Amino acid sequence: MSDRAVQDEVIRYLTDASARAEEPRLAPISMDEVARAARFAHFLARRYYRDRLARSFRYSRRFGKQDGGVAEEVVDGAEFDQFLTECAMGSSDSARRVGGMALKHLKAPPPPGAWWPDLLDYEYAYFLQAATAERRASPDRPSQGLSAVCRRFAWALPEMLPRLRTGEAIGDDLRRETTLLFSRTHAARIYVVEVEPPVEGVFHAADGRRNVEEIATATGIPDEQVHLMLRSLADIGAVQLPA
Amino acid sequence: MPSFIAERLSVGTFYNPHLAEALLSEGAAVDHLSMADPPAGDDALFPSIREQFPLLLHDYLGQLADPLSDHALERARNLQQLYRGPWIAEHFQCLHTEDSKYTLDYVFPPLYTEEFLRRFVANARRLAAFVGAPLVMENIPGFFSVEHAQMSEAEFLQRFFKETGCGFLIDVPHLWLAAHYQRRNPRECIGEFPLDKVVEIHVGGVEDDRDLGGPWVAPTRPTSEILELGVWIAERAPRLRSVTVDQFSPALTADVMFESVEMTREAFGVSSAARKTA
Repeated sequence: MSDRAVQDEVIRYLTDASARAEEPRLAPISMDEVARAARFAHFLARRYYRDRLARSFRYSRRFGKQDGGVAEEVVDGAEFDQFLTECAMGSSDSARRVGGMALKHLKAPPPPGAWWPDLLDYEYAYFLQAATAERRASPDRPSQGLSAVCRRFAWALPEMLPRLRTGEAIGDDLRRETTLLFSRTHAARIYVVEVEPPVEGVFHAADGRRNVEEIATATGIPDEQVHLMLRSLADIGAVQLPA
Repeated sequence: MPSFIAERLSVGTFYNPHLAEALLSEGAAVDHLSMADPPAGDDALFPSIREQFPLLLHDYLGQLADPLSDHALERARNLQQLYRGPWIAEHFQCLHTEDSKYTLDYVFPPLYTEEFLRRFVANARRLAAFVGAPLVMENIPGFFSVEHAQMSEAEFLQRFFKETGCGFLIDVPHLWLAAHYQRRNPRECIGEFPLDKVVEIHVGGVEDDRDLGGPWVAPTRPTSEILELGVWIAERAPRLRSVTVDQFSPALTADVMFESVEMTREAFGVSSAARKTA
């Protein structure tokens, strides 16, 4: 095994709790140092999720500071301590689990407005992109990106967020159904884009089981247009295409 | 665009975009700014920051344990063309696996072996040549030992600098932590490193961390011990040109930032002065 491969085993050991439970240990860490390495792994994961929660739940924190909790507080709780002993840092499953903890923490009453659940869903979807570094091998058929999600909201989030930033009131004028697609590229760039029903349909149909023609049949959109839509979705990391 | 101070030590800090307004209004307190991230597209104050302060490229350019991609090299060159600092910086780190499947998302040292030395030497030379600027390299602390090293960190760095001609960006809190966790005297530990190669010093604060059960770097004021060690290094570093307070965090306040720079100026005996414009 090359030294570079040994270093990879050390990195895997620190990021993935299942690697720390493996016997025999593949990473060259002595029994004397195992406890210290585990502490460092917990330090890394707590830091990683605290940072991403703070960045992703940044609109709700304006209210949390006055009325109760902010999302990143969950990393100091008992549930997160348990998570540390089981998590693979950066995986899609871990992001969903930590995002769920944040939602539970922030959904405690009373909400500051009827739009509150939509705002939290928006921030949760954004967090999935920020916290998922895991990559999937090239699929055989068009597949959704690991963290990509498409959500329908009852409120016009793209217009609501600037108002929240400047402290303006949220009125009923912002009640408008909006569909947003959240995705992340290999280069860790995050996109949130408003999409029309045809794109939403193609995204949902790209489930890894259908080829382009089958997606076209399922959505009723011509092959050529489906092909172009898939290409655009792949550019923003929402869809993975076969190599 | 202002020029980097040549006639005395330049004392600066990191560019924290949320403190841009304070930096612009109290600009004389800070000689230079290190850039850990590229300016955000919506950072309206960055053009003024660039007009007022010399900038140092201190971004994540890529880990030199592996060859940098053409895209990473282009990005580094573009950033350096934007900042035009006297040198660019990278770290002795290897934080993600070769297939990028796992990443620590945090600085982490490589194994100190002949193979890694060859990798760092080759990749550092390529980066410096492509960007067309001198490269300085920063030391990274380990928190636990790995049973695979073929040499000490100090020997690894000594040989790297000798083979590449790169400058040494010595991070004092990192070395203080390494000494602390090895239960060694910090000066004895630091004395093993090639101080004659030091071009830039990082100072900063440390705070106890609950997971580590001891101190780790934190965006707080530098401790007096860290500053004393920095001055001790400066007395042994004939090529030293700058001291930078290593604080980069959205939680950092303007008060802590300016107090930290002032404490650093005082410790190194450097008063602020008006900058020259190139």
